[in-house]
Amino acid sequence: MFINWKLRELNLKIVYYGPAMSGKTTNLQFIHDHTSPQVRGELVSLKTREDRTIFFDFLQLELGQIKGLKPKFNLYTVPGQVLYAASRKLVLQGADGVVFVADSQISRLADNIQSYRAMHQHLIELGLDPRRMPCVIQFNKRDLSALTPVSLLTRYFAVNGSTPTFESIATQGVGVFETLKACINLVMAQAQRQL
Amino acid sequence: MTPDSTAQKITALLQAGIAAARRGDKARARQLLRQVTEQDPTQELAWLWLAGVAKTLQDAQTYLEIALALNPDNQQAQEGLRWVQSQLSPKASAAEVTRTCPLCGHPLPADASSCPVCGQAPTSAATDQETPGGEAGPAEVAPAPGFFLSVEQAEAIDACLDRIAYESEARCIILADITGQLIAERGQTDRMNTQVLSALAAGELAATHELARLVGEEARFKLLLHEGQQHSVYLSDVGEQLILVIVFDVSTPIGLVRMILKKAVAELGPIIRQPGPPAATKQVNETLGGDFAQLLETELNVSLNT
Repeated sequence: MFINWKLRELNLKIVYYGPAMSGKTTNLQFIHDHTSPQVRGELVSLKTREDRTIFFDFLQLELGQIKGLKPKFNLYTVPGQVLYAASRKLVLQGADGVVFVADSQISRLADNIQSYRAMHQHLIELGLDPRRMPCVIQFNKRDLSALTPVSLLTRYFAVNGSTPTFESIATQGVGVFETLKACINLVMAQAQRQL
Repeated sequence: MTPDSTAQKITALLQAGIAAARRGDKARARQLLRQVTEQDPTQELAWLWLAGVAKTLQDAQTYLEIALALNPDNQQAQEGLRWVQSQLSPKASAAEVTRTCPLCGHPLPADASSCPVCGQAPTSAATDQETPGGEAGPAEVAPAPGFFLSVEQAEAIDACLDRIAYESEARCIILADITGQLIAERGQTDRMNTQVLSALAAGELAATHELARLVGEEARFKLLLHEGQQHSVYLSDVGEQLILVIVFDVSTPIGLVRMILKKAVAELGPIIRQPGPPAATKQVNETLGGDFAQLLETELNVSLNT
């Protein structure tokens, strides 16, 4: 969280993390395509020729003033491919909140878990406590067949019951804004507790 | 296929997978047991046996965690996970592994009375097990740091950037924090998306630090220069929190830019390090407290079209 009191700006960094092809970039694309130009900035994607994220995607949202302070949300995605572990850690640096985008297909269950575990490890290496990091879990691709039951995903990813989870179909926008809003609300609640 | 016949097929695959594991054919066992979990991911026993024939300890950990998510009271999974985690920990000693399980072939700790992964009768129930989705983190780690810039600091920064812009004849200067959030800009930035530029510069400097670490450089690379045909870009750290980006014409001598940048870093550092006035901090806390979160939630609902 960065507050520039002269400009009356509140900046938050939200990182979309998850295994390869789970729909992180799709979340940002949908947010970009369905917000007014007054609210959104440019969607920047650093990707390979094959259209895969190589470093990160970036999108800034800017709301109207609240109590004289203008909130700005900097949304980033990490590259999901196994190869880019170092880049994922770099993008996580300074995150105020995390959206973990899980791929609901049964065949990706182990990948989700390994990605989630790696995310926790990166946070620890960055000196952040994963247990205190505001985190929302999104179970994406719920429109496909051969899905992991939500009950199993919830039991793994939201074991303590306090982690918000959302079923989503990011390609259609289902659950996309709900996920983002929940993450922002968690970040603000945490910031208020620290005042 | 009827539900009954599907269930029968899964049971047959599971039995065949377990049999393959028992006779030591791990590859076949993995293949059969994966077929089970891909058809029915709630098959606790299949995940447990998959852990026993996993290629890596990381895979074994994942399968055991899934088994525990399905049944937190599964003692074999608890014990297996504890063992796997002890092996994955940097303190784990290879000397502790002296034999392998006759059933699944998994390495056994010297003092194990049964296989921690597939053993029939575990010796004791876990008492201090981490929750499946949890992470064994350090006891106390500082929360995510917030960064607050007071009006006085912002004005001092502006004055400093004005001076640098004048002395260096830079095309533009951008100051951002290490997470890529733009703090101040000077010069010809009208046609430039400085917010995106800040995010990219922060990513690039972070990558440069990692590069330094990977090549064994103890100090961080603090400078990054991109030379173009018309413009060049200099990126530099300013202390631990900020980064400075200077865009200048190629006709400007690089030595001059380096000297000015060094001076700028020396000037900006103390400005950033000084604590904000208590009155300003109190004002920020008062603004963010109270009904701020509720008002933000309402604004989000309006602005995000839902």
